Amino acid sequence: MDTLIQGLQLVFTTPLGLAAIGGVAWGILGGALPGISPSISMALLLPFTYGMDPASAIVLLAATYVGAEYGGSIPAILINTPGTNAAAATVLDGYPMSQRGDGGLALGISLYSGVIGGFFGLVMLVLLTEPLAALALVFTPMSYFALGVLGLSMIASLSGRSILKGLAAGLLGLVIATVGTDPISGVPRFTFGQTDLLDGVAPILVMVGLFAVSELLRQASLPAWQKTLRATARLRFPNGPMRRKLLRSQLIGSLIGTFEGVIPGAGGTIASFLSYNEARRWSKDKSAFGHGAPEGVAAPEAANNTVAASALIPLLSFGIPGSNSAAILLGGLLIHGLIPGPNLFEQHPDAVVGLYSGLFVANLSLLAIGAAMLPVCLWLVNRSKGVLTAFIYALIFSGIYTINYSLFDIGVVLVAGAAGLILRLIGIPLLPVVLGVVLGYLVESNYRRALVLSGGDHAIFLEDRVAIVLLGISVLFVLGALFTRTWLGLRHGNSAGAGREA
Amino acid sequence: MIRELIAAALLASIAAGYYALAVSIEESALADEIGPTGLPVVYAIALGALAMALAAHALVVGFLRRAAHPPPGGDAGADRQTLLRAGGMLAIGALYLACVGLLGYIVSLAAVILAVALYQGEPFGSRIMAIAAGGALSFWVFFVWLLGVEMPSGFWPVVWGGEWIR
Repeated sequence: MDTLIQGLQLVFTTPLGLAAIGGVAWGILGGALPGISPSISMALLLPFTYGMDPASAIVLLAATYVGAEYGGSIPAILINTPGTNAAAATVLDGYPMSQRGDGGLALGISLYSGVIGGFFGLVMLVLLTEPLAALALVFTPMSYFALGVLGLSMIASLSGRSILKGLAAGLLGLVIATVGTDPISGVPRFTFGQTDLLDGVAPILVMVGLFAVSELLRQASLPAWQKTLRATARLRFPNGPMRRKLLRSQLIGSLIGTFEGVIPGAGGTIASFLSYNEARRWSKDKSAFGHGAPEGVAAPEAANNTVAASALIPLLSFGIPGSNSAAILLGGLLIHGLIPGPNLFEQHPDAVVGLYSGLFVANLSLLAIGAAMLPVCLWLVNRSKGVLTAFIYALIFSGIYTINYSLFDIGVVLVAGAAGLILRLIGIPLLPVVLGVVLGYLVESNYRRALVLSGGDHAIFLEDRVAIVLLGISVLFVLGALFTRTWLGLRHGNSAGAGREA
Repeated sequence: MIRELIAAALLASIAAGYYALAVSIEESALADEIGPTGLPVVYAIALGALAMALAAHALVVGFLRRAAHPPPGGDAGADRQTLLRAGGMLAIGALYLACVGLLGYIVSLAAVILAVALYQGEPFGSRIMAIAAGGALSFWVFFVWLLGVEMPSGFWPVVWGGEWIR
């Protein structure tokens, strides 16, 4: 109750409420544009958060995540093009609803289910984060090193199709993190004589480059998306009987979204498709799915918005982001000196309470803002792709310059963008790279600190119980994922062969 | 298979180059037992090993799949097109970096908006020029006037006796 009162006070006496509303609006706009994912929408905002107070900055970014998860459903329903990856499942029934003239109802179901899922995820976030973070109080340098390794292993194993590429991606991130000044001796490493690199490569530059710029570069060769007719898109919320009918699918989406959000690397896309499948499995009218079933929109949209909150659970507890967007939020936390973990709750309780309150306001305002912004989103989606791309490019150049007033930073972002595009083309996932950059300092400094404590004896990692458990889980995770994929690959090959013989 | 082999070659090259740079890092009397080269060398070796594993995996899987059935046509052409188009966007970005110190923020940004829009297929005309100019001005109002960010001014202030902000 004290937390609730404190939160309400923060919302009404600080810019938190405005940050939440602004973030939701920006997120909806970004999510509505095909190719601009929630993480890119957040990455574009990162430079602007430098001058803000920490709580408002974090709320702005988190609210953007909330808004973008809904925003992605707008083009998914209206023009058969998901605005975000997580909205791909919404296309399956949302677009057929739109084709038969129920586009407004589909948008209303999406918005309503998103709010339900968002509040469910927020409750899970408040209930689970602090108890989990308390576990980290017993962490030693060995444990923190092992935690970094675990985070990288999990994300590398779950991101992309190849574990080898996932692990390589994590290593690339760790490599980038070594650029700069050695944390112990102060010796410059990999700076090539550039004073701009003495402080290392800022994670924000890597995030904006890898996520935002590489996507723009990729989009440069793709055709423009289909336009929509405004007349078919007037928002209609579901009535009482419809709301009762949707409850089961919303609950399924919310539960799956919680579970998937907590697992690092899983994210909203997996949650939305899993929710869709389970909603169909438990539906009384399975045959309607794929042909405009309202539950087919409700389940994935509830899941998406639940993930927007639940992905923050491992982030705030241990500093391990559950998704690309949570990785951007981690960047935002670090920019403002907020280190995730139990210390965050002790040293910056106002930031944590502010985040909870901000998310509450964001989810509450999503209903009104989502409805109000629909005409703006439609206008934006109907703009030419060339002009939109040009403006986003200009926004990136301008925003990045504001960080250090440095053109060198813009150059770094362009290089990261080019590297990100090449990585995408050769199938190397980007999230482990970003995580490697963010966790690189944690991994190296705690590893070397541990060896200083032990006088250079690596056995210290085996003597720490928490470290040995975490390292063991890392190994099991990688081996288990490797085994599962190999077995599934062989099974698929055998069944394909059997099919051809028949 | 080709894509995997290219990935493996790229990773191996990065590993080799990174290793060469890592072992040439100067030593320090303040260093601990691991030193500034310790973990970079480990990362380089691990990356090289992963590159070799990726190459081996690609060759084995490629051989098995080729034995089972002919491989489908690749999309190397699409990738080449993507890279070429991306190269154009990067060139526009590089030109912005080269010119902004001289021409200033507004003019350079208007040029970027115009160049990207034309590059993406917008027809040249007064409409797109007006959008570029209006867009650059809007960005100036937001960043310089509202947020107080000192963007590069170019040589323009010199014309009226002001300070050249680079």
